[in-house]
Amino acid sequence: MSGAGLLPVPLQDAEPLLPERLGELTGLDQLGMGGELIATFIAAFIVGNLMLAMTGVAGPWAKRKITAAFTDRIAVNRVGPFGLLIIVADAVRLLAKELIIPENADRPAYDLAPIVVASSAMLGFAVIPMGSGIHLADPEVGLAYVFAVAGIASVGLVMAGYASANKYSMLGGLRAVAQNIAYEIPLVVTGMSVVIFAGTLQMSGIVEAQAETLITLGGLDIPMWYAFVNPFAFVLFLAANFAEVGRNPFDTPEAPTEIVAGYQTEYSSVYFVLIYLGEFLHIFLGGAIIATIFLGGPAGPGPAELGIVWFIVKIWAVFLLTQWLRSALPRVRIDQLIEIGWKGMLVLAFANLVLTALIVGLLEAELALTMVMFP
Amino acid sequence: MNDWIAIGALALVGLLIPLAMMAVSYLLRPSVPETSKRATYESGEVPTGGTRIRFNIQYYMVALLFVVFDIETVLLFPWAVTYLDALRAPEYGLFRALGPMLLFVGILFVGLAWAWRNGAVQWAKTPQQVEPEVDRP
Repeated sequence: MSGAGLLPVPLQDAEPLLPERLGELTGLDQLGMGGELIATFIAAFIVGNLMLAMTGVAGPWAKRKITAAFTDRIAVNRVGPFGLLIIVADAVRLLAKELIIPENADRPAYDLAPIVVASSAMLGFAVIPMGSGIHLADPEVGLAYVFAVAGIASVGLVMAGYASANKYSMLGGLRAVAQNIAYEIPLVVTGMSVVIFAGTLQMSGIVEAQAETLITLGGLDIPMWYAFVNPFAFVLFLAANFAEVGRNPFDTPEAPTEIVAGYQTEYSSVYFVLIYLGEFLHIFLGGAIIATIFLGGPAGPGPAELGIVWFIVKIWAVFLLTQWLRSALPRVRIDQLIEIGWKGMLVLAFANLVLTALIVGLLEAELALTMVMFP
Repeated sequence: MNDWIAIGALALVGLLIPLAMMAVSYLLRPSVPETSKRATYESGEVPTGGTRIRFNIQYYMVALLFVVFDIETVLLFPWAVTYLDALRAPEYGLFRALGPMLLFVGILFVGLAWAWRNGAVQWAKTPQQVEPEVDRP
């Protein structure tokens, strides 16, 4: 654990980020400013498409297969091996659908909402260290940045809900924003309890702080992942994260049995694809945040080059958990949702923060305290 | 390369991908306008009334509470970052590192308790929901 607050240590031995690696690899860094810009753009393209590919696998294929396994069905198995080519078929099918825009829709907002939802999620991946050198940017405010851009999605959802001029959409949009703001504070405050351990908001710093060994059990080194250090915060963060991405048991904003599909009721064709894509990107972004600040980021057994594999395994574990909960848990009502958020999670999150600060403080000041109490 | 330029590049990619998908869809999709195809969806019925309906006041109440607590979290972030350093610095120690934060959170919790007592975080119900009509036609 190293604090970077009082003494700003220049990170000389920091790993080069993806744009620099690409610049060296392709020789683009020889071309000066323009070459570096191109390398940065290619790096951003790689990161964006990596996440898009994972969403492509998850949305049309994995989600159906997993849900089918939970409900004792087979699901897609006709097109290609294991039905994998359904990804291509679905992409073509959905993009080729007719776009029906409701007659009372608020046009600019109605068209912009899907873009806002989709691109806000993608922005968050910029600061996530994915291992194997795939790390686009590492600003000092990393964690605060990721929470901030993930929050932009609420704006997109309320735009979609209001601009559709549909009562279901309106209710869905209102519910979405009420839920997002109710669970955002527990999420951020629980994330803050991790910052206390790490002493920095920089993502690479948080991952580095988790590399130390917590305890050794029978010759096996248990790393200091914050999920092991503070399991309570981990569970709290998971629950708040499911509410943030609107997944069961907190999928009230698009509860199909109550308000059809919530804010996406009036969306069809490519707009529907974009909103759907944005939701999946948000699930993966949530998984990426959890993996980074609680599960040691790309850390895992084996050489460091395997980092990206471990990172993807961790993200998919979180995704699998959302699908499991989707099949296993009933939905909470909107009034229960608000009460759980404001009366339960918020209080627990602050209790966690204060207790963490107190315990860390007591452990640090153990010696001084003993001298005060037993002179 | 600057971190924020890289983030800006990803923002550009994040905008270009949806726009490219929209362009592809524009080339692929048919357009078959029909009467009342664009009508607002209301479970297959003819839509009644406008959409700008009155909705529960609760959404407004929780939004107000959120503003307060969100600013609090923003102000707590610098404290969380410097907490360990403050503990280790000889001129601060536990009491002076933790005390102000406890006071700050404490004041906000008095506010939350007040809002709780006044029912701001209790789901607002209409009179019909509190006392359901017995003989509904």
